[in-house]
Amino acid sequence: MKQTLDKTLEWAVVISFILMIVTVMIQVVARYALPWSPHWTEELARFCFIYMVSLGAGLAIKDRAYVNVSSLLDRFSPKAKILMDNLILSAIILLMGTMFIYSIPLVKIVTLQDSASLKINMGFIYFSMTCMGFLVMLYAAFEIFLNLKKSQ
Amino acid sequence: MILILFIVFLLLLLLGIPIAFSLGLSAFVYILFSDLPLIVIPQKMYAGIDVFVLLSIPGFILAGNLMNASGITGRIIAFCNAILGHIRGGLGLANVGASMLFGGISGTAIADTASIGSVMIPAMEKEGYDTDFSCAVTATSSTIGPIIPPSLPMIIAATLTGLSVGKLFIAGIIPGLLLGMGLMLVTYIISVKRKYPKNKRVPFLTMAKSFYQAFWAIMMTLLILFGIIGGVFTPTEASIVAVVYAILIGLLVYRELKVGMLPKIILESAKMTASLMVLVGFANLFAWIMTVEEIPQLIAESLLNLTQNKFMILLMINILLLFVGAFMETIAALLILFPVLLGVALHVGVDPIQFAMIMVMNLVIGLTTPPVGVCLFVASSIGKISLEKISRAGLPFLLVSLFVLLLVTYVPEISLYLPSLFYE
Repeated sequence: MKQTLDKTLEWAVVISFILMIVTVMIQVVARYALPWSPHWTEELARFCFIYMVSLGAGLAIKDRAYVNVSSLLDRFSPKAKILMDNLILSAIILLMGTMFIYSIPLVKIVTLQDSASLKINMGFIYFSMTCMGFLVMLYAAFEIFLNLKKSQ
Repeated sequence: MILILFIVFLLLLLLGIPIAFSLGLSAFVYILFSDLPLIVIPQKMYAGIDVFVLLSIPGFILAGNLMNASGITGRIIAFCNAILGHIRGGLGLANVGASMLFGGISGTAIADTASIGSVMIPAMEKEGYDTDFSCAVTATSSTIGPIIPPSLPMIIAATLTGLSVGKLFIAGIIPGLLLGMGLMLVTYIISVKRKYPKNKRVPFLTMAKSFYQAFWAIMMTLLILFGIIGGVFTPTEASIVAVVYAILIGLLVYRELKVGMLPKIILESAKMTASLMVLVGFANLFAWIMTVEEIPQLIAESLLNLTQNKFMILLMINILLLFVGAFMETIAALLILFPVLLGVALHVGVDPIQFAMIMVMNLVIGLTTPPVGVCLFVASSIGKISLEKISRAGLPFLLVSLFVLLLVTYVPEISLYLPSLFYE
């Protein structure tokens, strides 16, 4: 189950990244090689970027990619370290849970607007914040679960 | 009231909560205590990352990772060794040189320490260099990376204040070269003193061959630089062009990159970007609260009340930043402090471009000083030697870095000459 989620997200992130690269390349090539340049490239690239970040933010928890100051943590005993880790992850869940919940009214507000050039409903774009909140929360919970399993 | 924000932030940071979430959580606690709506959390997160210039960050990260996977590190080192190896302490000098060239590709100091260190530290050990010395050279010289373009901190500084990324990139060239030469000088002096080995001068043909091998990597830096300076493309476009260039060179010229390796490299770069952008987003929230509370004005006023003397103000800012840099990650510190301190600097007549240079240099110097010098950590884990030993061996290098910092702080032309040449 979790592996399917991992794989799906990983591919979604890679595809957003590739789409972003392709879009920006179109922008560059069009400016010099074509008589007209599409006006939507910058917006599309930005949207790909935002989704790449939002979908990747949870995976980054799994990889422990977020930089922290570990000098104090390193002095703890292994057992206390795991306990601290669980506390830290819980704090992250609290924060991202709040973001998840409050992103929903935000999405509702912005559905009234369309994006400037692609005319995409901005609700779809701001929904990335809902995804980010949810995924980081979920992956932090996975990590706590792993910690508990390890300490048993 | 505002004290809550800072105290909670520092507390969480010390407890080991990642910087990004420490920023977010302290802002969260502050919002709970004030009458601000919680909806600003997702709102400011979104606003913080919905910026076109930021797209260049995954671009440069990916381009660097692709070049690395194409075996560029070894080629750059071989080239530097061919040029510098015959001087006393040649391998150490080559280490610094490689960091300078590599800095033109990767944009982060940690990447430079890791990729150059993993080749250079064992190689230097084998030739009889002391390990603490090799680690110190590797860690310190990698701080040149974020000063020589392309540079992630400079992109962030530009995003925060609307300065031109191109101008900042070019402004970094002379300070970067100065730093490189300074570090080489120290390496040379220490090597002579300790009688570190020198290699035989390589025949011209070998040198030419190694230049050809490294040529495509150097070309990438030039492509990015001249593309931006010449107005051919924006920094974001430059980063993406660099990605395509790196893929082509890796697949067709060096042939060490395989199509099958691409998804994994892209994924790794994306995850690194994601963790950075969560940081940027929460820093935006944090900075917004500071603005609401008029903290930047407060800090500016209290600094300016102490003195209006440009020399003294810059000195105070430098000391503050060195201290902050020793504890905090470069980009996080930049996000929070750059807009705040820029106001002060502008008030005493410092050019914003020069000030960005001062700030970035200060913060990257912190990467090699304890307690939170990330480059030290990386070097110590490669060389398997304690942080204390590397820090001690790094002291002469630190002094040179500080000297270059002083020059950059008090001689504006070092940062401003090249931009004025290209942009006026």
